[in-house]
Amino acid sequence: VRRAIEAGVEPAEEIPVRTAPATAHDLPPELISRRDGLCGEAAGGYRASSDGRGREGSDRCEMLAFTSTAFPIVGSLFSLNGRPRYIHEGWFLISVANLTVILLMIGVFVLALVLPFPHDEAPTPEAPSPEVGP
Amino acid sequence: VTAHDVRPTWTGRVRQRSVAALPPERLLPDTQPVYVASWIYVFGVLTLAAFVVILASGAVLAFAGPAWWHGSSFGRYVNSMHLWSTELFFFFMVVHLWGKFFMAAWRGRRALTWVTGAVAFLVSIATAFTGYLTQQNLDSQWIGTQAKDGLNASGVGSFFNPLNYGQMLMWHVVLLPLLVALLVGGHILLVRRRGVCPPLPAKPPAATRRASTR
Repeated sequence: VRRAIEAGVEPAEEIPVRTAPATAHDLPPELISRRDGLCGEAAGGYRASSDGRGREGSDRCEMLAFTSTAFPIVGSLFSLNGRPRYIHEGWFLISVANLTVILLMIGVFVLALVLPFPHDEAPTPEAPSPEVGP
Repeated sequence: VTAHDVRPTWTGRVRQRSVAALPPERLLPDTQPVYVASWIYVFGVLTLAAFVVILASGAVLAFAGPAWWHGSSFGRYVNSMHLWSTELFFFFMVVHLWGKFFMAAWRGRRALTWVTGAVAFLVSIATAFTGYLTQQNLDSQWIGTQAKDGLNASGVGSFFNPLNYGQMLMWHVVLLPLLVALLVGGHILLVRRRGVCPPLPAKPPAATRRASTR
């Protein structure tokens, strides 16, 4: 900004501002062109936007385009780039992500109690516990 | 002068007391009780495995630095591995905690084992919290500002400043992991010393049963 003022120009007009891409709209075209095949025209995917600045498409296609370009090895099954969802009922407020993890932990805990553990065919002698008692 | 006349050095006394407290056959046992053959007993070692992955991925991140983990695809991969191993660490640790709580695992002179595990859980939360503060994004700024208010209200704000990025980074990569590692190491040694806690009996002991029927 200081250099622009010294040069006698308006900073806002001369200095390009770069921000991190928030959605596929903000990605460079060369990256979008390498998008997942699921988002082709036949799948109802991208098309040129009316203002000519980018492309439009469904949320899933945006997610696939973003994950497949920014993270080419592994793309997330669920879009983690959008606004988080919450469950809110009176005083109770929790994000869907946290509730999912809690339910998964409860499920794994119950399964760990009820599922049989694989045993060796040969019986293992019981080792005495060093100190057992109340 | 015989060997019995020589007073052992402090290192010798430490060795004697260590071996007496935790003989090699108990430190690295050949067998385990049959009740350990249950899925609920697996989550302690799963927590430990996740902790090893956290330390290894964190070491790679510390070696290469923030510009690498933010700016390269492999850096982001290792960064994600650090995050998801932490998620698994807490996932397994909570299931481990539930299993031991409902097992009353502090029985049989195992109170210190329970306490070290509980304190390790709390220190792990602080370690993960400082990790979130070092993400260098809006989330970390928001969390740091909120935490600063809370810590100021509790009176420790002058010692622990979540808005101080350098302090939080050092706590996250040096002090807190060292504390967690010491607590986890002590916890494991205590498990070896006292043995794995057996499950609660399906039926109460005879004396208790008689007393309850009166």
